[in-house]
Amino acid sequence: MGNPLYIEKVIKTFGVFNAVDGISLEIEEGEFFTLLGPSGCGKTTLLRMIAGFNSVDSGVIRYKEKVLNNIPAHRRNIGMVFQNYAIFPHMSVFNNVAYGLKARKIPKDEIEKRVTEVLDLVQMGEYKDRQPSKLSGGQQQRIALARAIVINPDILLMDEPLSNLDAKLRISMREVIKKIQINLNITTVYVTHDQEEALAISDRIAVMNGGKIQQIGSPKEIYQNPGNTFVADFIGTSTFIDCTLESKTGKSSLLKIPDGGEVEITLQSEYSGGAILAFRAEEVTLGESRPNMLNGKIVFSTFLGGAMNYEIMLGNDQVVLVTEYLKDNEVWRTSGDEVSLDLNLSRINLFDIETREVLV
Amino acid sequence: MKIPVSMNRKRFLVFDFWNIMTFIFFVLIAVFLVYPLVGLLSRSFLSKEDNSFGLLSYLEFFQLPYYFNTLWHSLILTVASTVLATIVGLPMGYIVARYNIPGKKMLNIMVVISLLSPPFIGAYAWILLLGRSGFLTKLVEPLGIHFPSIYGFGGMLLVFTFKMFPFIYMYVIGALGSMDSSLEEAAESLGVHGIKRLFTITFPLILPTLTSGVVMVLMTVLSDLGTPMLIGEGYKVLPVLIYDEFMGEMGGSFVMASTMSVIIIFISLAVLFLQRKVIGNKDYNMTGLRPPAVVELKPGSKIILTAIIYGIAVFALIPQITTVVTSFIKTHGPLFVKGFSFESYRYIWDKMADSIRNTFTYATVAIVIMTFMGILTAYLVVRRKSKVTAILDFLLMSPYVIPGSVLGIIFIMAFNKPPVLLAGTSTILIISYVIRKIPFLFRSSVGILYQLDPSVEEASISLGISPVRTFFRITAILMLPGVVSGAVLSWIASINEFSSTIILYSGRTKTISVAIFTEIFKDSYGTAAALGTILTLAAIVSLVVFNKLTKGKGSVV
Repeated sequence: MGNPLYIEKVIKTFGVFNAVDGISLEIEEGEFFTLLGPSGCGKTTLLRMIAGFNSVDSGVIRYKEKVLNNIPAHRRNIGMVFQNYAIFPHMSVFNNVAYGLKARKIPKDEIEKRVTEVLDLVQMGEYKDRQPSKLSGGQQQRIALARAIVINPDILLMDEPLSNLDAKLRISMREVIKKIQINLNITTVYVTHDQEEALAISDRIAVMNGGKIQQIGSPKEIYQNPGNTFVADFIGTSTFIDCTLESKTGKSSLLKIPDGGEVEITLQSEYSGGAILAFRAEEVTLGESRPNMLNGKIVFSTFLGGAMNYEIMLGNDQVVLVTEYLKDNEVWRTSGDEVSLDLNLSRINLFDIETREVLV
Repeated sequence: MKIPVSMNRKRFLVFDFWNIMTFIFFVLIAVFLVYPLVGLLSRSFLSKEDNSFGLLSYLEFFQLPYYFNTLWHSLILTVASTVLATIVGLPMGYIVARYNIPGKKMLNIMVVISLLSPPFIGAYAWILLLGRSGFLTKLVEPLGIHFPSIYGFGGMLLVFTFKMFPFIYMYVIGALGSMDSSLEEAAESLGVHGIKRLFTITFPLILPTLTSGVVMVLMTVLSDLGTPMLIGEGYKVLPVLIYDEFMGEMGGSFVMASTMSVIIIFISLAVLFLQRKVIGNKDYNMTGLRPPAVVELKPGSKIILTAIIYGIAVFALIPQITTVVTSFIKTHGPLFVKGFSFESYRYIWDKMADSIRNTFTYATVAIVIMTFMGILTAYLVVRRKSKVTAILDFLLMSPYVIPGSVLGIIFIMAFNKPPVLLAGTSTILIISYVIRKIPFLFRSSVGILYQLDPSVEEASISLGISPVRTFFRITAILMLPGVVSGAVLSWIASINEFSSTIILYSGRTKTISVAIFTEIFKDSYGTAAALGTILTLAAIVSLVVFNKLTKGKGSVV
């Protein structure tokens, strides 16, 4: 059948500004696909274009053989879950969920059966006759999810569905969502600005910025092999250090860090000149300060329970963040301590200083 | 797959439901508002003698003291009444909202009842008490005491002050109730308290709401026809002069009536413009999460303030009380005799049942039309924002600056000949009520729609319900509570409507308020009082029913 949801070079313009700027995507059957990016990156606009609430100024959105561009939202058979739940306040829980089925002229007893089933699925069976005003945010979001999936939509769209919930509930709800999605094998497009949520829940992620896609990949790829400095910066906590590369024989290159010595690394491409070195806070081992190493002084420390966060000032006055897990090394460092930063060379990333694209 | 560019373009001229609705509303507004207004404007530039175009009539208005003085009278009366109403209403609202004045609910009910009848009922009640043959005048005459005259400027000032301060009071109470206490606490923590806090935090924050109340009072006083007709006497104001000129009892002219109508509309526009200038874009949309705590007063000041506030509230109720009591007094022709009876009611039941039926029929039909219009137009203006619907917004609010008497006049002039011959019909009255009160219903509908999150509608659409069906099944139903509170106010205003009705009514289409007026001029005070009582009672019943329907959650002011 091929990929069911196919998006090609779509553009959405507000005034003179391209909110979505030529995006192409293919989403597989049953895939949990996440659009991730900072606010204003165009992720919600793209989602609303798929839903049919924003028109497509240019490009194509296709579901299987059907071009969606000019099909009105109510004929697309797409389920949508909204950030603020959008529960119909004047209807009971049952009627909220039954709403879409009634419109499809489904016999009464079947509506009854399907609503009951889906309410059980989201563990809200006992709240069937409640009024929505009596429900908590998490419960309302379960109803919203039930209402969207009960119509057996071709695609399920979710627009930051967890952002109005508190931190604990967010984590338990994202598990509920993921399990139901796997269970029903429903093609899902999910929008969030929360990178941790995206990593936890997605099959694949598209990181967006400025209306364009920065990188598409599995959570592991996105996290470990960011395609450019934006992705490296947006996902996790990365430190960027200006450095130089010297291409040597074969695939071997020499990485020179100012005030941090030199080290030989393996690089597929031949590249010499200025580069950006990126590493994550937890991929550094702290040790005794010694010559020819990246050395610095602790200026601030934060206790996080299982780990310590240290702000370390390097020789060039740049401050970097390093996380040290207490189970690995229960050392209590204090401000003023001199330390060396031992980089895990298999985990560092190097970027072209001009294009900011990754060097592999 | 290639998509032709044209398919991706947004098509503008689609004959969908909302475009058809927009078209219908524009046609209706063009026929019943723009056309009559344009007629008024062009007539105001005609010359009395030879129908040539020019500024003659305007020159005459500003040169002849007979006309020009009424402009001054109107302005002075309007400003003075508004200032006094604010001086009474603002502190009273503040004190009731913030201090432990006992029986606040009771107090609010008293205030609401005092504003439920048309202003001229107040004037009429004061005639009954202090007029040339009023109860109190007659009572103290043998003792050689004379009250100041109720006729003229002073009397109107009294009537308007006590008729209008309740509006200010309700607006202030509402604004203070939606203010979060943390704002004042923040000021307090920064070392600002007492009077200084009041003037730097509290008053500036309620100012936008307060000015809407003030503007409403200004407009009402400026355009009121009934009160100055009853007790204005020598102190002529613009609406009275417009009426006189138009009715031609003193050899007046349509042209001068038109000129003065344009001038009074201009003043109203200036008032609105001034308000925009003062308020600018200051719209502090506050949702009081934690309303400020009620402050305990010292026993001494509590007794004094309570006495003053209840004194004012009772004083404001005097017209209503007088009307009700009078309606039960035995009469002998124009004379009241000792003892109580239902004579007055029996009389109006026999002779004026038509007026009563007309009043409620017209108001009901008007309110049904207005409710539909309010919901539909609010949706167009809020959810289908465009240059076209922005014009619709403006046009729907414009009747706010047209005094009732002016609306009556332009309707007569526009529809007294074929092809649209409506003069003297009940239709013209209903349309005038709709046009006159639609701004209120439209505003309250817009207000509630802004509070509704569009994603609720989108949820319905994504579940397969078309946008039009979603509107009727979700949006309209969710808008109802807000719309109904506007509708109750418009309904009460419609049954009380006087200044356009007095011009538009014919023998068959008389309403209660017009009947009251003609009864007063026949010196048939008992029947006038009985009719007034029916109006007040109807208004109270409407409010009680509204409160029951919304389980006390709806608020009318």
